Amino acid sequence: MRRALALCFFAVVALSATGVQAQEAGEENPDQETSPVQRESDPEAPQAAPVDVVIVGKRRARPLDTSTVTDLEGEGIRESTRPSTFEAIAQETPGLFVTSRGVGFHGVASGSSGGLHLRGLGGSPNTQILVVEDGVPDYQGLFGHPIPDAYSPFLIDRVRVLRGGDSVLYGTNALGGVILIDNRRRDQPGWELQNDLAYGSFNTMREQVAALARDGDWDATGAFSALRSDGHRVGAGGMNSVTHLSARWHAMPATRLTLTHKRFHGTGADPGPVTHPTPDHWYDVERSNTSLQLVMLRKGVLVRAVQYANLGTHRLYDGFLSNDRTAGAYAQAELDVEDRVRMLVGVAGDSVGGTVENRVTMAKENVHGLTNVAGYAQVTWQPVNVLELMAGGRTVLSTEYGAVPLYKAGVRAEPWHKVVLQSRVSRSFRQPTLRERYLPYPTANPDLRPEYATTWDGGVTVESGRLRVEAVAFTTRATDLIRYFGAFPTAEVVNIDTYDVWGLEGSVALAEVGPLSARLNGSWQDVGRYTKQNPSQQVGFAVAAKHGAGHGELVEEVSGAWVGGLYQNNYARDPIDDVFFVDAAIRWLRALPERGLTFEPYLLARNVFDFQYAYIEGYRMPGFNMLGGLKVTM
Amino acid sequence: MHPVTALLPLALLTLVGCGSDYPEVVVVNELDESVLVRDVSFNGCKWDVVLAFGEATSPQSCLSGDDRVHFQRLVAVEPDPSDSIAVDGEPVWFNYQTSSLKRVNDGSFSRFVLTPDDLEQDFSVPGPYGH
Repeated sequence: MRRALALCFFAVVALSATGVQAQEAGEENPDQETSPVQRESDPEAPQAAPVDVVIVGKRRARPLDTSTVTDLEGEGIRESTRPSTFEAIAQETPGLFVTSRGVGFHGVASGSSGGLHLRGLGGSPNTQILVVEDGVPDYQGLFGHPIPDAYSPFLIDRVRVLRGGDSVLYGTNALGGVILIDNRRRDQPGWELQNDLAYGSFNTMREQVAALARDGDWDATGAFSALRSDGHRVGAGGMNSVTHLSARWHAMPATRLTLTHKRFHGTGADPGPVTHPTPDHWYDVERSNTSLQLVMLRKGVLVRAVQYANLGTHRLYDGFLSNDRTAGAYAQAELDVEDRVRMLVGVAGDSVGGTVENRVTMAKENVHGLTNVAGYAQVTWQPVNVLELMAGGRTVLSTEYGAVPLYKAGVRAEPWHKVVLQSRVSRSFRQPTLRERYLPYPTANPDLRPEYATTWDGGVTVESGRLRVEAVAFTTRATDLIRYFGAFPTAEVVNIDTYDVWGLEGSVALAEVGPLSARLNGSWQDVGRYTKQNPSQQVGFAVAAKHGAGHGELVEEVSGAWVGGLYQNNYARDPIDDVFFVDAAIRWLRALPERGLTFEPYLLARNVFDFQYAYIEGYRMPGFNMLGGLKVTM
Repeated sequence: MHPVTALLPLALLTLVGCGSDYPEVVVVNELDESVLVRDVSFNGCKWDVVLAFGEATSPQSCLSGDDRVHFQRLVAVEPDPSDSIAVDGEPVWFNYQTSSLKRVNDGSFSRFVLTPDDLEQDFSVPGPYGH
């Protein structure tokens, strides 16, 4: 039955494609705007530059970066067929792997998914990949990682995935990579309102509404996103809601003061493996992130000062109750010290803590918080126009571990027009989470030490017109990695000696050749003995076509992914069948400029060939399913 | 074809796709008159019932594919004071599963009967771990 529906879907897509006349596609996102700091300080900066904090100075025509990065537009993330933000990002990023278990609910605790894996690091525990949203690092005080379900794509403007660690700039957790998310703001006077309502298989309902306004010295953003579903099997459903409020005061030219508050509430359950479902294993999570940011440009010096607090309450079916907190601040200045030398210096501090109790057994865990302070610096030197050199260092002073020295160095060269060579080495770290140190789920070890990873990568990028090709090789040597061994009640968590990973990453993107765009990305890596949820190969692909249709524009896309070499456990035990799925999407964009309205009905079809696959043993993914919706912008 | 006319049938397909065509499954306890069965599960389904001999679960929609029927069983006999298996006087339910794999397909209705000759201990039950 579902296969028949999938065939019908393809048939209708094919009919709609042949019945319209192809035309050259225009700008994919003409409303895309750079941040004010970026626009005022560097009018020539490319619009895709994802991080406003480093884009300043008139001498640079492009951002200085020796890192291996993947830049993604928010529009692509929002329109992805993938049901969650992290999955959408992973599908377009070479080497980034994210587990999933259903139609958009990753959950928490046992049976949760959404673990980020990059270059052999990350995953379970999902604490080695740092997520930074609007300049604020997001990790829970007790568990040391973000909540995957708390990321709604509706406001996302840009995403940059920094492949390979960078603790010099981002501190703890930036061991295997960093995901930088920038949300949208309105820079022109006026307002806009967007609403996106969708309904689909498994009684899934998604509502996303965003309002952006700018008036005088103020701009504000408000957004609400909700997702509920029965799930594709008992216990796989849930309800997530994200509220995002932000106000920014343009105090004076080139000075911004921004207050942002984000609230997440998620309920659901661990459905358990299909052989032994556990739909009564419910969770209820509330989190609240607040930040205050000052960004100021004075006489060529870009100053950024950020304070943030991340609070959360987790309740589980078995009586578990935790309240955790992360609080921190950093201040950094970026300036040109000479004509071709640029320096960034900063100081940072953070503190994590929390309380844990079991409301059923009345047991309380003894948790001690951690506090760090750090100083860091990065220098970039451009001796000639086609060569850039970078070096940086950071020293972390911890209340538990003393001094932690970190470093990085890189080179970026453009020996031929449109050909960029890049290489970088970095030493990053992650401090043990309070969960690993104190919470016996399934075991704890208060003597754990920080883990370190030294990563080298080198690659070449060729960008010519509408074609972009990237190839990168990397190797990582990690020491003192924290790993769980065994199972309850005899499990242990310890630092292991040395772990080596090496691999290759690549991507090819073809933009707007006639009505067509396409991309292909892939990776291969040798992960050694730590094979748990750490696949050795994966490929993501997409082909999209745009046509003029009626009075609007029709967009059809076929995308998918393949993951191979996946195991449920280390030492290549419990292999999982390869993951393979194909999705399809069709959208029709109709603009009514005289009324200031655009309508965008769309239909997303996931796993159109109804393949049976799973990322986690026993947690089968949904078969063919659909989501249809309407987006209205005014 | 006008895009709107293309999207309308797609919207209908969405609604149709929302309806489940998952296989329906019923499990019947015919192990023995002295045996109770509880926590019956099969391929994504779980029945929160205790089945006496001859009783059946209600139909539930499960995932298509292969699985064994998993359950806990209790032999309801007069307690033997010398029986060391009984813990603190509480009855002990043991994990069992069918020896044979059962296959269900989309749109099908299946009635699985638990019998003594299709029975083995189930060691695949996940351990207690959380958070």
